[in-house]
Amino acid sequence: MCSKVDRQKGIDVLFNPRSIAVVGASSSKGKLGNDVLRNLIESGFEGRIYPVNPRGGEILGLKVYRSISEIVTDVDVAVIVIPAKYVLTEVEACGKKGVKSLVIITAGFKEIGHEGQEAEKTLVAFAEKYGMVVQGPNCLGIINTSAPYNASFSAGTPRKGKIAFASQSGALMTGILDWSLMEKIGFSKFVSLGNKAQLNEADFIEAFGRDPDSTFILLYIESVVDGRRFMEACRKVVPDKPIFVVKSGVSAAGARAASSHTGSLAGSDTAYDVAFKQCGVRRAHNMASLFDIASVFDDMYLPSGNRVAIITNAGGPGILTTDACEASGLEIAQLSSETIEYLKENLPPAAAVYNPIDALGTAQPEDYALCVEATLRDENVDSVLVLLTPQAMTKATETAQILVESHMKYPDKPLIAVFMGGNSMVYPRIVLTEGGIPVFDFPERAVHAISELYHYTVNRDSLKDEEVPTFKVDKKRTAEIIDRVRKDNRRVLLGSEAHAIAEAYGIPVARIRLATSSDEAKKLSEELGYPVVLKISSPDIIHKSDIGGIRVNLTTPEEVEEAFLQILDNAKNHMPNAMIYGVDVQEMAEKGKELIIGCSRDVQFGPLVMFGAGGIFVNYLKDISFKLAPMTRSDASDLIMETKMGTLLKGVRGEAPSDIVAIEETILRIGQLVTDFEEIVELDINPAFAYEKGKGVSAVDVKITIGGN
Amino acid sequence: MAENIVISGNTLTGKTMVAIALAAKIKEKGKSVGYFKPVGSKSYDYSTSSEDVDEDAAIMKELLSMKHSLSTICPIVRTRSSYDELLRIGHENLLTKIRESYSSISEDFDYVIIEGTKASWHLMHVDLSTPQLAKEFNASVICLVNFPDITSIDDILLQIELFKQHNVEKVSIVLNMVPPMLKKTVTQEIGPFLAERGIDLVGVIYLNRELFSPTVREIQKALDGQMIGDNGKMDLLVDQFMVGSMAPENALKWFRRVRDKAVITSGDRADICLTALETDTNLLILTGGMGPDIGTVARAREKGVPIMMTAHDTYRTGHIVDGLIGTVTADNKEKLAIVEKIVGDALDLETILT
Repeated sequence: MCSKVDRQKGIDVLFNPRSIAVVGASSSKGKLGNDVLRNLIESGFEGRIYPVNPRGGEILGLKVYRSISEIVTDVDVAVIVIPAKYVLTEVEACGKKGVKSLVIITAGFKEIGHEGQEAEKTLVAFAEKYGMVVQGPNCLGIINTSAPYNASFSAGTPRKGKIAFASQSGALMTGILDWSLMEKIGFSKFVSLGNKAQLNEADFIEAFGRDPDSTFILLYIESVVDGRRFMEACRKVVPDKPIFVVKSGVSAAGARAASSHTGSLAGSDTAYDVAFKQCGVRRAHNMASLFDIASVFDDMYLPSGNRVAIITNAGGPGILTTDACEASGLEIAQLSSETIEYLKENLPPAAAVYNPIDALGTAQPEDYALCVEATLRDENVDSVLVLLTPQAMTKATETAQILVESHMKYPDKPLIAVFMGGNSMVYPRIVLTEGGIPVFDFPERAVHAISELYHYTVNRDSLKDEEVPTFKVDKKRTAEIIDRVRKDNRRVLLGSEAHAIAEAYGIPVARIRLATSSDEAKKLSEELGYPVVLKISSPDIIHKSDIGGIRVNLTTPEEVEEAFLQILDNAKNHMPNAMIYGVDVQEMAEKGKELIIGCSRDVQFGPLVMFGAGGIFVNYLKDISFKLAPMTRSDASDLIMETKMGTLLKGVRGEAPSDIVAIEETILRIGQLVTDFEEIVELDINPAFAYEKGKGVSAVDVKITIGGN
Repeated sequence: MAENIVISGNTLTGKTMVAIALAAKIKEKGKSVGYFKPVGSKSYDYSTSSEDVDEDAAIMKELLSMKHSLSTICPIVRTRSSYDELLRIGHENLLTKIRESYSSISEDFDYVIIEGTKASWHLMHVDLSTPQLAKEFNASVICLVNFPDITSIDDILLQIELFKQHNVEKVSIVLNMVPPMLKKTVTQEIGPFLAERGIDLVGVIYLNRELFSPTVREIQKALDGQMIGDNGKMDLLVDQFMVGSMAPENALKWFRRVRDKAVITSGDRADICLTALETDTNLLILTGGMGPDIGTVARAREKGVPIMMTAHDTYRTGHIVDGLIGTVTADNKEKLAIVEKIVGDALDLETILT
């Protein structure tokens, strides 16, 4: 959606309003219009509050205006909470009044079908006519702890904090809010996205990025409105603030539920995964994990590396934690000799002073203090995990207090507690939470949270402004071929056409020519040079070998003639309704390592390029990796090296390395092709043969599908 | 006296399509054109208890807005009740009836397009085969020959020979159902081969699925379907059918390969429906009597794609539509335009009409 409205300016007003009107304010308890107004008053908003209701009077001690136009002074934000059929009229009235931002809580728009969808479009058009931004409709509202104000119908107001949270599910937010009050997690902004008629996740990410009160961004989404804009916004923000996202609809059934819920086709989950990676966003796979991470970040600085010190009073949990660290890409820190000496001197002789540090079941609060402070001081350690199990001599509460004190002494390094147990750990955990130390009941969750924060720093640092290489290519020829296919009312290109496009883009191919008679096939075979391959040419026949539509290694004109006729007979027998254009004659490529390079245009994020082990076992091996085009050289290199095939290509067991540079270049040229020609919706090279270093690659079978007009 | 053009050929719908294209061309020239089919066969869709009707006659009557009765446009309707149903009436009686009907039509038009029997040799047993009728009406002949591969060259010669035997000399050949791969062979080799033998090749109709595509209306009839929402798209043509029962990420790849398709799926597969709507789809067929969810309906309306519900399951639906071949009817403007364009462009009508 393109509009003249400056959305960021609109959100700035939303984040810092001087006055808020509640259109649909109600005196009846239990009505949303009452809840919103009550929350607004109780949240301590210092600006002006204007309840609007045609009945007039007074609600919760405030004068009620019969219409928005009755209000004499300026209104920055209007929260609309009236039945859907009146919303358009009120939006227009707000526009005339000069309101800058709308929060439309009312449901009954896109989610109820076509009429609702049309009304939603009109609503946005009205708002934009008057230069207003729109949050929602069909949302919970907005809570802004830094203004502060709560313009939502939530059952409470979160603590003030540094986390900005935007969610496509309003109901989920209410659950999170309630939980956060218990966990003492604070939020700066709490935004319910609703139907995202105008303002969407990308707008809010950008705004959170600029918001001085937010240092950490959390997102729950079912889909994004505009994949490219989302990526741009994230790339802008990630260098300064971590963005963690839960995107639901991972499984086929989940995706189906998401489609049903949102009424829009979500792009493939793979594309989301790749997009998040390429713009430095970390994906959490469930809400619990998302808020584990949030709870650590809320209290601690980011770790400056992946080296973890583990302090425990029992061997088992220490080993479990060590395993979890290794599995999450964290390193068990090699403690400095000073630390080791210090621990040796101060701990009982039976204690383990190497990492994980086992202070034994007898460990007292002061033992914990000396271990924790020694590791917090140690330059070889980036974060400290403290494990505690309730044993006979364990003083959990005192240990918790000691940890709080140690953290206050050394606040720069992340310190995370894992207090394992039930009833005996309730109070100690409260002490830790109150003291600003994140605490977990099991080590894996703690390790996961710290590892995610570490990986964010790695992603952030790897985002470079690398140039996307461009090659000299023959765009005109490609356009001509695509035009011809379109005129022929086809979507699928013939082999000869697809190979010609690959050639035009400098992708090394085994050349193909189309023969429509056996005489022509023989002539073309001479031109290309024996041996040759013959393949049926028909957009209707996908698995050519299954119907006897391919013959390889033909070395004489007689063999070519016989194969030509045989292939046509096979095709007619097996697929009598297929539209046959002839038989492709192809030069026979020397066998190399079989690769697959492909691209599918994702509905949200555009060209999703795939690389992996090729041949007929592709679907079984699933050794593939993805990147979104356009790509940089590093992207292409990563794409290859993320697969097992990447390792094989480097040469194993004395085998010569393959021409990885040529493969990278082929991938980049494909990236350029699918970026230049948006009409290419599917492209598949399987197999492409990779040869020894310096000898290049050869695309053996290129398939291209083009999209509608 | 009207000019007579006989259209002959053993084709499925080719003759009627040529008749439609030809009629359009004649009208374009400002001349009037009528249609006559001496002997037809009974269509159970069009016939009534009081009248046996030939389908082509019914269509062409409406198409050319002819005021003549169906029994004049097609005076003899073969019911195929017995081998000798026509023998019993006898050649003379049949011919008299044909002549009477023909004269009532011919007096109203500049041109009369006469459609032959199913195959040119049909009704030889009552001396009313297409060559014999062509002779009777002193007509020029457009002879359609199916040309699926190069061995059909002899079929052309056989047809010419048949007409020659009945002293019909003005025969033009139109090759029908020619696969696109034979384009070069036909223009560079078959054409000159026929020219050498004095045979006029006046048109090549290449295999084109569009000509045989059924409309949404025809599919609805076949499936006893129920349309959801807007019914303004009943004349849309459906080129291919695809069954959507795969994972949505695979569906997108397959759906993208085919344009103007109908996607057959179960109503509860919102993901498949939305994927289909994302690609070039002309119809959603929801099987098992399961209706779509609200999101699908909204998206389909936005995209202008009709939705049809059928009580048949997916397998049965696929089976029914598999054999569905679209016909041309007067009320289907879209299909008519396509036939006039594709067939009209394929024929050298100027040569035929001179």
